[in-house]
Amino acid sequence: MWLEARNATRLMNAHFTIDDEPACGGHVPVQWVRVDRELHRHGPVDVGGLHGLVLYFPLDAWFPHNGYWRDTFVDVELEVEGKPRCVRTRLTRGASGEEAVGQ
Amino acid sequence: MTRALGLLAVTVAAAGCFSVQYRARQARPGEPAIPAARVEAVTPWDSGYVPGTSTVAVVTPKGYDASNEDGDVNDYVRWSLRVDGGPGTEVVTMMWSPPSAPKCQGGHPVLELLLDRDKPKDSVLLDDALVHWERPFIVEGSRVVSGRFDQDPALLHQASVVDLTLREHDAAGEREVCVRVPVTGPGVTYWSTKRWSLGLRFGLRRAQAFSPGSTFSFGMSLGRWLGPVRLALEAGISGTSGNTPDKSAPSGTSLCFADPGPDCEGSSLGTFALEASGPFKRWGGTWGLGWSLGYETSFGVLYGLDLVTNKGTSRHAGAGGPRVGLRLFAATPDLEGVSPFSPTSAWAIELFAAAAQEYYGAANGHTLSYGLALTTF
Repeated sequence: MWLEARNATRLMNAHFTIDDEPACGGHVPVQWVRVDRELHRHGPVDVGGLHGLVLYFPLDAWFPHNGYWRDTFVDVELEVEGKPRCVRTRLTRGASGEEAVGQ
Repeated sequence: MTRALGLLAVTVAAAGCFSVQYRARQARPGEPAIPAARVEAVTPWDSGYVPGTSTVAVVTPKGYDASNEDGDVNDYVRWSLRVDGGPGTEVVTMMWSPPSAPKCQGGHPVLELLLDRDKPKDSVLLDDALVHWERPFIVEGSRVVSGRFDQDPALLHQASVVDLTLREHDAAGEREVCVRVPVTGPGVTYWSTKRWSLGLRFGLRRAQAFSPGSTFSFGMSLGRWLGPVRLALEAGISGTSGNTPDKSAPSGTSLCFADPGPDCEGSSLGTFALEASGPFKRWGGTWGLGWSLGYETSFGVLYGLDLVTNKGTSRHAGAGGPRVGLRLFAATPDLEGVSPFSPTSAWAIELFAAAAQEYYGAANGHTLSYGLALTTF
């Protein structure tokens, strides 16, 4: 994902989330994160400014009962100027499995 | 194709099909005693992709750009600790080191931290634990916290500790605690969780129940470890190098397997055996003595030579009976503290004796026989 964040912003965590799981409380946590071209094996990491993020999730996220045919999201947990924020990106919409990336 | 095979190998290894895990049978408590921590298990060969090498992806203002590469597969050591975390306990990091290293300051830093799942996994392809990228992360109640480290075979074979840095929150505020957990050394023993085992057996036998000549044999076995005992089904072939006895070959029956002479019968046999085996004595970790006890059967065709008419003859025969063996085996332990009776992989030389009774065919051989076998399991 492309992130435009304030300067004092840190990426704390990210989750793959389905249906009514709480925002930033999904059952599949991120494994690794690439910020621009640099891979980070653990967090947190400064992401203030303009950055491209690649989030690596485990096999769980591929499995049909986790993903297809459900509402799926990627929740990014940020700390902006010392305050927590949760940014949600929808991946699929409902039973149709329709892609909804970016909405 | 290479990438697909690599992904399959890593996935299967991650699911525990190939990688061998050892569970702690005896463990020493960490210091300080609270929060309570002790070693739960270790996987000495924990295979996985080096993060980010199989899919090299970047996001730019123009969009997503990714390339699939073969990826670098690496072997790690995974230490798993049972931690009783109180309310507000967080895991910060881990270090693996010799006991002489300063607490939480020396040795191998953890590469990834993992936490057991909140719910049981619902597929055999999934790992028992999930990597947690965030630091610190909360561990509440009795949980298994694991860490992946670079391999260090020397450190696996000597006393070592895992230092766990925890952050605790209480009324007095926030404080960091370094819990030192002995993972190898005095008072820590392991048992392999290996269940299934493939084996090979190459043997020479002095005689069969239905024929006096020596035979070679080759067999493959599939075994299942039940505690310290490997229970296996074995199937193979047995016989002599040629079917037709050669009048010019040496007389006697001891070399029939290699060059059947006028006193021999050529043979082509199928063999089946049900075998139990296990260790009973170990020295220095590598060498040991073991036992085997089985019931074996042989069925096949025997070829003779009528010395008067100089014509070949053939007959069918079958026999079965018990077999006992004494093994000298060599097994290289993966780490310090593995029980000498734990399931293992090894190669062995076996002296065996067998008694057999004919099911059908003429009893032209010896009821009791003996032989030598080279086996792996």
